[in-house]
Amino acid sequence: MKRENPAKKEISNQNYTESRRTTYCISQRYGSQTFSEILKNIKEALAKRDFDVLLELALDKYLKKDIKDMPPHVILSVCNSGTAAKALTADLQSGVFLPCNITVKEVDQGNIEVSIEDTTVTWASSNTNELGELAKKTTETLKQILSEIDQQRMKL
Amino acid sequence: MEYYFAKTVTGEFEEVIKKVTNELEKEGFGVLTEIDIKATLKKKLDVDFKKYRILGACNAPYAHKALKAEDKIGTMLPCNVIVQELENGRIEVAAVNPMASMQAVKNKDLESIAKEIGDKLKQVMDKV
Repeated sequence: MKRENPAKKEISNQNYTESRRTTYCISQRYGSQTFSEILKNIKEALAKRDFDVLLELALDKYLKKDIKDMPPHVILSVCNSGTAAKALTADLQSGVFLPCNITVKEVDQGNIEVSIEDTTVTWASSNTNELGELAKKTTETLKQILSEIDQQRMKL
Repeated sequence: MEYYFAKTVTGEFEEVIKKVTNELEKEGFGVLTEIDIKATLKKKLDVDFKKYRILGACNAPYAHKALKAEDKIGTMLPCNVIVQELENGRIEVAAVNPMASMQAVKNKDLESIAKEIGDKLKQVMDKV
């Protein structure tokens, strides 16, 4: 199988290694679902955990003047109001970190990458203990969503 | 490094929001989201909170540059500007310092983009 398309496979692996080194987000790739199925599964998983989607930005459409033929790339800005209330109580300026982002993008045909913001890194400059704890919980919840995307497919 | 630039102004809350939005536009930022924290917390949790608005601002050509330098930077877009009520009718405007947020990314190409975006946000802060 390797012989069929070695170049493509190599690039794909290279990108994946790179994504594992990224510090500020956690990424996972999915090969057996369409872009819109993944988006739908993420939204369902978010709703179950009381996260609201405050913004759905299709970057490929937003940047179409600058980039022609950009593959589908969506930013979801999501917020759990209970966590937001606690974060703002602990540090009033922490609103600059809110909401949390999840990105969904097509990396190559049939290969979709989902990245969740790692709040333990992106909220770290606040330096309050309570925000650190909230960041840990938030990243754990968002990680569950990454693993649930596949499980939902199994149920169908 | 401070993770935001802040400034205190006087005036009517909605007027300050309009002013911030206008100044952002002059620097090429569109406001993609406006989150009314006071209204959201009241509605979702029945909690009383002061007037507090988060503006999600994005400058498309810079977003493009940033994505070219770092393919997953979408997880950190857009840039936030907060407008919140203080006591005695004063209002604080705070913008995220992209230089501080991008420290976590450890990408040299992104640093210069973050600096330019930071300078633009500072311009906005100077003018409101």
